[in-house]
Amino acid sequence: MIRALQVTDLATLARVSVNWAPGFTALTGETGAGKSLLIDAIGLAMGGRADATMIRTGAHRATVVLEVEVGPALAETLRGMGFSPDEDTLILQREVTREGRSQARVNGQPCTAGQLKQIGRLLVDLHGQHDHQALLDPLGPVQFLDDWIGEPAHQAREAVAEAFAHWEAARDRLRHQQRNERERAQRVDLLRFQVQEIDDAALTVGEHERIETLYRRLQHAQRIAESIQGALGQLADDEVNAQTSMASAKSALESAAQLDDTLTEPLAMLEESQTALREATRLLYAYSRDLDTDPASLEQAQERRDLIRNLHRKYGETDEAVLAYRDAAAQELLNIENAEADETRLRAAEAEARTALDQQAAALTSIRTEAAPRFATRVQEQLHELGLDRTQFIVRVEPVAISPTGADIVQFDFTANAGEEPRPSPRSPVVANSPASCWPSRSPVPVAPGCRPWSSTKLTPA
Amino acid sequence: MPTVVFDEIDTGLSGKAAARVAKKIEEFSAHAQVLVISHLPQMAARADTHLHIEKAEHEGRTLTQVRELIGEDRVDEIARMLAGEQIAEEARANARTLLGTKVRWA
Repeated sequence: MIRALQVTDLATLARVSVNWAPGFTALTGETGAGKSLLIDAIGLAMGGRADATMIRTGAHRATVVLEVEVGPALAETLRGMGFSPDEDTLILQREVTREGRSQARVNGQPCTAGQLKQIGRLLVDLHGQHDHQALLDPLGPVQFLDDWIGEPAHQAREAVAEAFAHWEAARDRLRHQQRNERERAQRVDLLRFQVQEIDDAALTVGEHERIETLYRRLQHAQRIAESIQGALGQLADDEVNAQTSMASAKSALESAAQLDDTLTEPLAMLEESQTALREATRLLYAYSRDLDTDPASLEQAQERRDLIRNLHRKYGETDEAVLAYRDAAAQELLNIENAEADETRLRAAEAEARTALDQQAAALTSIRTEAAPRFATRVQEQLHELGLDRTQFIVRVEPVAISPTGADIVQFDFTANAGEEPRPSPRSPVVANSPASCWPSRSPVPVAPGCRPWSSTKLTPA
Repeated sequence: MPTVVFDEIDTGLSGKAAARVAKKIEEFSAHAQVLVISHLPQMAARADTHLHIEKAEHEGRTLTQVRELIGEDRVDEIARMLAGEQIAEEARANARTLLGTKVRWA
């Protein structure tokens, strides 16, 4: 309950202080006297839009101070929001300066205009003459019905909103997964090809060096063979060769060494050389025998060398790097396969969330459907009491695409005239100027067409 | 006790209809503090408290003043709302009838 309002320098309100009584207060006066200005002042203290043009000419700032009495329940709610009412009193303060700055305070503590608005919504409910437009809002009637039903509808709606958010998140995750599907499929193809290519090459560590050596040898095999042939001729095959020359030299030296012991040492050296010569000759024969001069071998080695060079160019400069790349690609393939399993899981999660949402929405629908006729009867009773004797008021609950507010659209069908079929409210704003044009929903009597919905906290007795 | 403000919600209503809405609001005011801005005497006469808002000029500046109407002042305002500026004794009588026991004399 508003106890007092003090306004300083707000338009024509130079210095006005009003004490408000409980119960029913009427404000009257000529058009333009400032009745609505007084309500604007209250609105300003509750976080309404502030601008410098509101300030009284010649003044630097406009100030509004609203003293409100709050009951224990509301005090509890406010404490929950982080404000502590002093005993049972809350002081809301708003100041607007010429520079366009606005300052808000709750019990002297600075706060934001948004916070004032939040508190204001709990304290004061404003109804203007255009409130019937709420009926034209497709969500208007459903809000009226839910607010009239009260706690059961609000709880069910909260559950639907929660289930909806849950389902939406699950659906988005699934969509995200599916949107990447093409990209992923292309990646899988590429990775599979690369792994296959490296596996097919059966590359081993060190092979690059070995193949380069082999290739070089095969490439020059003919020249190598000719050189060795020449060397073997000189060593062993020609008529005059190193081996026979050495044998003759040795035999001559042996005779001399029998006469002089000092020749034993050179003789031993010659024998060693002869052994080395034989061994080298043997190795060269073996080499010559094994030397592969087949052009097919050269071709094969070239192919292998090219293949390995290609792998190095594509995947890494060393054999180790190529093999490491292969392992990484195989791991990535595995991860993608896991992600595909993820999609199956996500699809299941989405379906499950949707089922839960549908269940919650169905519960809300049945609460609304059950209450609709009772609500219609109560509204009609009120309309009759207001003198609209012939009024017929029908509430229809119909299915609509699911949203956080449920899967129903609520339609108010209304006629004020006997013999006329009740028509949906959005097409017959006939109620606008009827005495029924406004009634609060959480009052002891039901809401009538033309009322803005109330939050449930509004009329819990303070 | 919550506060509800009705800002000229009765515009365009006939006197009879206004009286019925006023009765509803009066019933409702047992559950809430109700502030009603109205041009209809049937509505204003039902209120427990009647505030009058008027403009005055003071040293060349326009000032809005708010004052609570009691006794004959309230009868006069209801009569003015019924009949316009020229308040006949008949309008005063009608205003007294509308106000019934609602008017405070001190």
